[in-house]
Amino acid sequence: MNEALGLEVVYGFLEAAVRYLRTTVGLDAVVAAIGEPMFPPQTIAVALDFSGDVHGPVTWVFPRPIALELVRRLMCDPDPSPDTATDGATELANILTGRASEVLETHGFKCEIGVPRVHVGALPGGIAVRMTTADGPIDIVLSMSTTEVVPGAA
Amino acid sequence: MPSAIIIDDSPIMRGQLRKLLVGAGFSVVAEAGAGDSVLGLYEQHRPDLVTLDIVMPGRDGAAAAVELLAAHPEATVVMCTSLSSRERIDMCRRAGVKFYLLKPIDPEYAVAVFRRAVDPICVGKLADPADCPPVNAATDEMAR
Repeated sequence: MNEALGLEVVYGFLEAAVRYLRTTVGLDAVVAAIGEPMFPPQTIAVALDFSGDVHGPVTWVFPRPIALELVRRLMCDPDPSPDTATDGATELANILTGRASEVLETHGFKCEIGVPRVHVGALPGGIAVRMTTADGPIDIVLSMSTTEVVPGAA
Repeated sequence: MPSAIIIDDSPIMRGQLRKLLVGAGFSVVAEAGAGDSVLGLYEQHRPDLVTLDIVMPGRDGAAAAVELLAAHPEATVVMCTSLSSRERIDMCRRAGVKFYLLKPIDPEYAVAVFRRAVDPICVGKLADPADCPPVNAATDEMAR
């Protein structure tokens, strides 16, 4: 039987995302809204699929400047090509998902994460969260559910 | 000059690791974006160090490390990944991986780890952390 992620897990995931946004691209992000998925223009959407006790995708929507900031930092390139924005968004989604998934393990869920993929089209349903940053909003859609109830899971 | 191969599906991560390895005094002799390539590249180049991501198309990096170290226990592998679960770290440790770097990679730590990984004084001695103290929390985990 599938169940939605508990709020405690969702908030833990988001707190980890905020923490690693700061260490990865130097951005302070604030959760500003939780509601319907949005897909603003001039953004790149990247999805990663969970499998195991938690399954389904998490989708990240980054403004291009944030994606390019990661490239700038990793490559020590002060003026990265705009063509590298998708690679930056993909790797940023990979890092944030990987690190934030520590929260899932803490709550007793065993799961695997798939390879990041660029998402095209309407965003999937799920818990949609908007974070505001100085470089534009980041949208996250948590479409994961749990396969089984695990002791300790909210 | 020690040599290295980089296995990571992200072009920008390969770029960062290339810069760091070159800065640490390594020659990067090959790069690939999939875990399936590891054994063949290792046997072709016999590098002093292999960096491995975990989440990649095809065979994941943890499975690739298991295969590589079963065939070549002398290989030195540094996992470079965003996955920090104890299960993953234990799997890599049991396979013989001695170093585990978490993304986002701290450049100074990474350079220190790369140099330490091929330091003849330290190689093979991490079973006793006192001989060669690890340089970050994740690597510390590996040494226990």
